[in-house]
Amino acid sequence: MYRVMSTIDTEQLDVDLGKWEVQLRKGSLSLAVLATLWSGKLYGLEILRQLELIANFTVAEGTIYPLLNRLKIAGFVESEWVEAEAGHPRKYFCLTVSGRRYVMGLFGAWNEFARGMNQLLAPLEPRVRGKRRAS
Amino acid sequence: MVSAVHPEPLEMYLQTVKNHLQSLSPEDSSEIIRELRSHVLDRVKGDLSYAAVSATLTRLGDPREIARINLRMRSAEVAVSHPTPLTVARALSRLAAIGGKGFLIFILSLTGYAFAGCWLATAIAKPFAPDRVGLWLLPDPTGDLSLSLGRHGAGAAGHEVLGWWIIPIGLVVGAVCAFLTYRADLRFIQELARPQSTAARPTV
Repeated sequence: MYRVMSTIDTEQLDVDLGKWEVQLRKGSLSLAVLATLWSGKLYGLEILRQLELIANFTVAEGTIYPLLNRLKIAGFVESEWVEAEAGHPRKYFCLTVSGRRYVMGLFGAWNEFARGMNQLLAPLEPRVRGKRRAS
Repeated sequence: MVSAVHPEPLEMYLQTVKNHLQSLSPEDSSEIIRELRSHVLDRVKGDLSYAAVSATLTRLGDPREIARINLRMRSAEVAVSHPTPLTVARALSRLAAIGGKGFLIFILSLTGYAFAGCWLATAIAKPFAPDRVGLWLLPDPTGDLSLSLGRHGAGAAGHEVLGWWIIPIGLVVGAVCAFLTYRADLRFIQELARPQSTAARPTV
């Protein structure tokens, strides 16, 4: 009986952790997308690739353009169609001046939050390291 | 050049998306189609075979869902960036067409505005028909009493509750109800403007 309950609890825990992580990533998606544009202009697929390669951030492909459009309407991003060497036009996105200011603000808030959370979670670090070694 | 790409899967996909974007302006709709076409062509990296294009489209997701996400976010964005009663109402009617929660909120919103409208109309009509317009306490056939707002038939049973006070009270209650409905609509639309189901768990 105890074992069954324990299994259910572990499954529930995994589900809850998954949901929490998705929410965390959803909340930081705008910052992540804006951060990819910090160094220069990129087109949609390049943004997706950077998110995945650098931050292991998997984004549903069809949803990146609505998000970029939202950032564009907000005035943080601008776009232009460029006739690419690939043989078809590509839509490039780049940060506007207020987009740069906004991403800096987000970065500051993120740093402050992460610093506080890291301090709060510091006592857990040895246990997490031990678990990683064991696995 | 683009038409040389395997037209069946790509064009059918884009046509399905387009069919579900009819409530957007033609400019917005064309822009979305152009973005999707460019994305698919980037993804296939020059391999324009039927299999490659089909696989990319599968990865992109259900065209109806893509259209819904675009419709939802574009409708919401305009209302959020330029919030006026007109833009909010337009966004809400588009969201209602998508169905689900949007439709429910649309019905609630209509109810809110109808309630506000009744109070305002009663307050405005009062000076023109003081004996017939107001808030009425009416006896039911069951013996209970009920309140009725608006025009009351001549000679009907019941008596008026607020008298001339219906004018300031009606104006205030109507305006507050309309404002609260507008704010609730805007809040709902703001929720929809946020990215949804976009971030998946990393495949570590």
